[in-house]
Amino acid sequence: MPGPAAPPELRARARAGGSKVARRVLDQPLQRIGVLGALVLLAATAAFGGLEEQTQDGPEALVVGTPVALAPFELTVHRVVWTTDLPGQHLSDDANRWVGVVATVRNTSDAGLLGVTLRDALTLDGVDGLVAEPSDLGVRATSVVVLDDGSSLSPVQPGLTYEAAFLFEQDGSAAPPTTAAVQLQQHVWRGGTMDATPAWRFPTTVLRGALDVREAVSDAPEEDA
Amino acid sequence: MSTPGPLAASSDDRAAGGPAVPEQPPARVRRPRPRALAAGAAVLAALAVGHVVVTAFPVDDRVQAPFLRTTTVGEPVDLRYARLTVGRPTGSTVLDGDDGTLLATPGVWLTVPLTIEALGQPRALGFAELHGGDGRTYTVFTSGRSSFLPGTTQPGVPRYATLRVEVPPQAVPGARLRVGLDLDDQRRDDVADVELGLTQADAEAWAAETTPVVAHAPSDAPPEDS
Repeated sequence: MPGPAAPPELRARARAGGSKVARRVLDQPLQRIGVLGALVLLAATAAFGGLEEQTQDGPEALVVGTPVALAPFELTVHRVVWTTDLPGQHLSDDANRWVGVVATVRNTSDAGLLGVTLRDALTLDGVDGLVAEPSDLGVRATSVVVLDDGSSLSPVQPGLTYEAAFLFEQDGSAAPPTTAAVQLQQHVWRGGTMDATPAWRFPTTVLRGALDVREAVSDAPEEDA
Repeated sequence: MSTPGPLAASSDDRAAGGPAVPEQPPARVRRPRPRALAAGAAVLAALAVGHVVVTAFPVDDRVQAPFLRTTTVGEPVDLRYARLTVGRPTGSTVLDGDDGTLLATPGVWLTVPLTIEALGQPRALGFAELHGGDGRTYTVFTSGRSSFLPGTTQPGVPRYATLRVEVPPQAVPGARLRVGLDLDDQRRDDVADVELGLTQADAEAWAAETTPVVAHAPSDAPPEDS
């Protein structure tokens, strides 16, 4: 067994000092001190949830038509459609098309939120030719519109339930999608690294589902039930 | 010519029969003096006390809080940067944006006419939010569905603008409107806090109303129907 980690001079001083605790600690081998230190560190993380059981390994499966609580929203994804003509919405190129995720949106917090937070809450993956650049969360919607009047859904007021469409512009040279991976993100209320002001930050994907995509049967997405 | 220092000596020097190096006494570990220890402890204690004071008595919010200037509908309120008069709110389930668009809502639209008189220099008010009677805060941005963008008000020229915000009907009774200068920062600045005088009857009437309520575009001339 390896000897004590502390140098002889220090151990001699501890003995001269008369402290039993110091003498015993300094008599321990380095390996034992390291193991004890690691155990103390691990125990300290318990105060911050470090020893809690990991309940989820990855995003859960998204189920169409089922409301999902994703702070600060509750989202219900109904369907995914594509269309080339959407009144009031303008494509960057006439040959392009819209891929729309029709969903019910509720702000479950106690304050209104701007649309930029909502756009982070639902993203697409696995669709070729989307015009927007993908991020680490997938591709964000070009816009989110209210089905009733086509206006941009921002701010999203608490206590109101909106029928909305998350619109993604797809390049016309790509084939219309037949499936799309819809990803739902949850935010947390906390301060940032550079800005300590609490806000809804750090969206994390918690649900994901590969949904069928079909062509919208009418001009307006709300009419193609 | 420099003299080699102690680090220049090696075991080879001694093996070669060089001058004997006197044996050095073992290095003594310097104990920190009591006064240094006391000073360090005092610094740590001061930091700890400061942390306790800041966390136990959070004064930052109060120090940085805006100066709320309360008023009611029809009563002018003097702010550091402008005199503000809030008119009688109206509501409906449909909003006419005065730009050819009609907006629906799952709740009710609330429109509030404001008259702004800038003080001292041109002012562009940019902050507003509605504190609902249900305890929630309803965002009013400078664009979008719920918005308030009066533009620049010149001193001596009253500016007429209409704020619009959608809320659930239960937020209407007891709602208060706050209006300020800076959209992003109201710390230590005047903010008007307006009691709108709304009731449950207002909420019920507006929730059943389908005639669009008009949110007039901002202007230096009063709206024709005001």
